[in-house]
Amino acid sequence: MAETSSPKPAMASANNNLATKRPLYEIYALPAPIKTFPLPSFYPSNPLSFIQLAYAWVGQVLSPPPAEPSIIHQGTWSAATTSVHIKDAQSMRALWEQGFYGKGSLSRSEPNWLRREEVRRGLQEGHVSEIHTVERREERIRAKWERARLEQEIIRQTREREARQAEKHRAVEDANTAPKAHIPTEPLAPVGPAEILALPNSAASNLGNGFVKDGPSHGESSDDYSKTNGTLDSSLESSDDTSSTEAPISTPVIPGLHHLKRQKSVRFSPTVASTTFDRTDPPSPGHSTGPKQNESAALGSQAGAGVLINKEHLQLMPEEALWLNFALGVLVVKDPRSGNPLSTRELLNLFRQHSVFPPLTGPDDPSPLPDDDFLLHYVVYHHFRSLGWVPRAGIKFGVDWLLYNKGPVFDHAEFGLLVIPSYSDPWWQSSGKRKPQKTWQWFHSILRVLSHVMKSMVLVYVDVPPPHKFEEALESGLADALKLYKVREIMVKRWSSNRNR
Amino acid sequence: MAQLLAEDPVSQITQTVVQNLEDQHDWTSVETHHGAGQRPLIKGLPPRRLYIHPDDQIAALDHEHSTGVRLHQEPEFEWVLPVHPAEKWTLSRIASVFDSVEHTGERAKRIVLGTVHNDSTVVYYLLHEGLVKPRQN
Repeated sequence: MAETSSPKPAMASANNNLATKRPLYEIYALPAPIKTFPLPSFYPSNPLSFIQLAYAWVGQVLSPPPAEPSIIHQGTWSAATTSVHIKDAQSMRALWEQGFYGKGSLSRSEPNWLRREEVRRGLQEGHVSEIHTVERREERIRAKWERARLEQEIIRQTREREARQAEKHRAVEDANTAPKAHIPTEPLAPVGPAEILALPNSAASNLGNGFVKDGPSHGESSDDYSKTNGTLDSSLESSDDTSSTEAPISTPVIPGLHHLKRQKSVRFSPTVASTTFDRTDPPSPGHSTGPKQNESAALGSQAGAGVLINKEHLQLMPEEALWLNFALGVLVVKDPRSGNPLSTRELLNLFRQHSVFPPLTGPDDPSPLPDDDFLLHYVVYHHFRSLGWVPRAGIKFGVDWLLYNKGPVFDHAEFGLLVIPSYSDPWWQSSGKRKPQKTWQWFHSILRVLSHVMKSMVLVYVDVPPPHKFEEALESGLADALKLYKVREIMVKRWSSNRNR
Repeated sequence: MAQLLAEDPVSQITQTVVQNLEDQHDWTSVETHHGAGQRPLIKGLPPRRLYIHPDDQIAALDHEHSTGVRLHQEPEFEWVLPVHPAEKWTLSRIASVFDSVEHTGERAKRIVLGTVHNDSTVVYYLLHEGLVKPRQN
């Protein structure tokens, strides 16, 4: 396989012609910020393919393409955010599109703060995921408000009905005091054998017509039992009440909340449904529509006057920066003070010092061991990047890395990685080093969070070499030092005996 | 002094959270409060109400039912505590942060925890003092 390169005009124009919708596979055609030109395959069954192969080979031999990587991106180290900032617009797009490196500092992942602002100010038409998310959340807030309103309405109606019934009971009591004077208003605990037999689960209830058989001594008290179970005996109801109880159960369909299932079916009057609720009516009319409407006038005048400055940069995590610098060689990180490019060793030292909070940058601070947070995470990052996965930060789910198959625009992350150091070397055992003590609650809570978002949990054990071996190998190069680490993965899945048969 | 403050890692993450609130989440009147010997806290006004207590919601719904007027849920000033994920926090330290919140009338019932990750994600969580009635999800 021969590697050649060519200038990438597609990247420069990527930002401009967003209006003309390009397919995803075209935008994200390159899985890494380097270009490869593989020779065509040779099929013995098809002799013509040999000619094609020979032609391509001769062409590449005669005019060897310039060395890859053709474009080296420039970044600046930022100690304040412990990261590398990319400010050049073309580099930002290129690093995002070719392998999903970094995150827009003011966006959820893809750097599109400028576009979001332009769309909000009406300068541009388009779909921005952040705006879409805000709209979806607002709809959810409205739906939850409506659900709460309906629930309060149901509670109110139940209370009114109960009050009416209590009044009716009292009226009946007053009318014929003698025969039915013993009707209890509250359900009494069953004490006699006949009452216990009349309870719903007993054999008597199976034999009987209803699921509650009227106890001889309790009279109407059985109705109270059945009422608590949600079925109202309509024989007691007067004519004005039957209309509401016999009305079909109308489950309110709340937009955005249809998956939130109702626990019980409670009957309520059709007048509830007729109190119409305007979907565009938010719980807080002045604010929930947010800057889209409130600020658009002010922002519009602003935009007319001045140019919108992009406040966003692409922020590379230290692990991503070292991978791009050391493994791919497509990134140069500059020192913000002197402006000089930092070597890979300098970067490594810087990142290791800043992997704790507050950073160990003082002259008296101890030098980090081979099990410092940066190296552990970098080893895992390097491992999965080399295998073609796209690891991204997983702090939102409480894990160390999220693992994407192709990238965040194509699918959701399939796995959540937890990095755990393993001190298997005898040197560590003799030095008394113990692995971090994590509780079962910690493990379980992360597992449940991940399973809730349909991700599998992977425990990634990193075998850490002893310090003397590590320092020795580091003298001959970072690649040799990294070879001393071993990565083992264990996937954990909750087994529920009822579901997983 | 200014140089020293800029170098301080805590004020650096505070600055990151201020930028995130203003530019990504559209908060207004964001200002940083430095108490003597205390963690810096950020005070700001979110674009919409962050939290409605379930009892307040029921009261608002009752009001809406009886008068037909929907109560305006005005956003309130919130206090944000910027933290770094590698920091170790204890209950007593969080309690001291609650003690340090400036107040004229009643003391602040909640603060917002803003955890800054080095990929520029800021994860926000609401911290309430004491037991709070849970909301329906």
